[in-house]
Amino acid sequence: MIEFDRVSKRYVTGTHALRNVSFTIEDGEFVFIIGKSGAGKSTLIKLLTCEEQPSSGNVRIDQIDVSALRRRLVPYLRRNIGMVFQDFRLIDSKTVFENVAFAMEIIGASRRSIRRRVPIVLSIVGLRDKARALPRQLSGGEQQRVAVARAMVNNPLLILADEPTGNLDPASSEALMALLEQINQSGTTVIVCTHDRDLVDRMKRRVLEIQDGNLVRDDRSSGYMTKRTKVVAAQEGTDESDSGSGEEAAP
Amino acid sequence: MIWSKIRYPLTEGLRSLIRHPLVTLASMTTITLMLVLMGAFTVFSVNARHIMEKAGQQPPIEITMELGVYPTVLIEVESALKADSNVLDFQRYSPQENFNMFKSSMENEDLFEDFPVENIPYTYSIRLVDPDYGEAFQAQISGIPGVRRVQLELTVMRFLSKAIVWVNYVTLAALLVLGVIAFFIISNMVRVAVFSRAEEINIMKYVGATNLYIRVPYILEGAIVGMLGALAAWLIVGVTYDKIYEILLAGATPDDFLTLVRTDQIKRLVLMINLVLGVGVGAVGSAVSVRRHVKV
Repeated sequence: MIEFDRVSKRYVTGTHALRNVSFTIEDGEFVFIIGKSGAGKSTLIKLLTCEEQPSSGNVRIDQIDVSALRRRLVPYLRRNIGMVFQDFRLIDSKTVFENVAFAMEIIGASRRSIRRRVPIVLSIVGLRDKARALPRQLSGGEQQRVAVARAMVNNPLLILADEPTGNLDPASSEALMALLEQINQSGTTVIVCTHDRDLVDRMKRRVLEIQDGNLVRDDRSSGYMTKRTKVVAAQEGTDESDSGSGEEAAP
Repeated sequence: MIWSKIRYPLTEGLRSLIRHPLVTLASMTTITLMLVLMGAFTVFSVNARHIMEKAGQQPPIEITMELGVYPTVLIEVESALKADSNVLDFQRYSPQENFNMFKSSMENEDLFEDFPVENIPYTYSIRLVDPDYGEAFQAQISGIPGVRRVQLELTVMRFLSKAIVWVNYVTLAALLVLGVIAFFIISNMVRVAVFSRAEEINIMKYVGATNLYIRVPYILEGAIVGMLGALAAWLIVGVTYDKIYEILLAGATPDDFLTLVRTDQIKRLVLMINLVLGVGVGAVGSAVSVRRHVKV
């Protein structure tokens, strides 16, 4: 279970990235975090991965207060979190197999278990036949699937995806979300930060909306916008796809 | 399991060397230059000490006994000399021997034929291990009954001991300055390596790599560069010293006063110093740099 308890984050520059944010995510949930650029989504992810510490409040994962975690223990926390990024973040000089195996090597897995596990994971993401390819020889969608394979290879409790479909065409986005959903069905908690309105609308999963550092919405089985936002957007003819639920979002 | 844990740091450390060959070459060359300079100082310092010690061991100390001393007194003095670990060796000269030496140094030996030998004392010539010990030695031996005088060549000995101290200071200063330079160069090399692999390091952090896991390849890289630089410098210094030794001491024997330290001794010493300094500066420089730039 992930718990944000009155979490605020203020950077040294004076920017208030998060203000008194509280929410709970149960094990095995699939949650979208939405909000316009600079709303605080990335900070929220950084607090979960201990890249940043909250200025006040607590972030707990499985009852462990990760905001008070000692630095030397941070890597061990991260081994339970799979990360997927918009820009894939694959190592160009390594093959698909090596990129995925890399995550296992780091935790000291034996070569035997790497040889056994990586092909299975590559099969799940549909890239077993591309194991020897280099990232530059793959399409964007395929590269992102490699990133997902790397994120899931160590059986993490949680997968954090930061704008995973940002660089993908609709078909690849669709395939990727199906893959994340499949991973979620196996019991892994999945948190996806996104701007993709269609995606959020279609998947009907829980949505947390961050606006100017505040949690302004926590809807289960909801779409990208609330009904009220949709009405206002239609009236004003504005595209909300890049601005979360906009000014009209109801808390 | 152990191999799977050390395989990555090892292979990455080696790979990193060839990933940026020019940076590696530049770092290695600088370390080599530093250690060649260091080697030259070492060779100079060791030889200077060697020559000074040899010079210091030429008999500058002479003990003159009272006239007509009993043999028991001579035994007592010799026991004291044998018991003193700082006495390299000593030679006793009887009154007759002293008289003969005196005579042979004169142009007309016949003039001294009737000179009574009883008026000439026993003497001892002493060589000390450390010329610095001269004055303490003088005080100690002077106190033995039957010893009339202990003569010291203090001026020469003081000069020698001061010169050794200065050579040591200069060597230490050179070591510090060159060490600091090499340290910064290695740090810079590692910084370049870290920046060029920033993306990979970030990925490593996200998948749960520990600080140690990320840093070890860089530390290994620095140590390997340091070791290669040390070996290259050792080769240069060794070959050069061989040539110098050959040219300068073609007809000399190791016991000559102005001899150099043997090449095998110098090579062993330079190799040891180079390896310790090269690997040490390489590894520590890398560790400091990588610690500053890589934080989980």
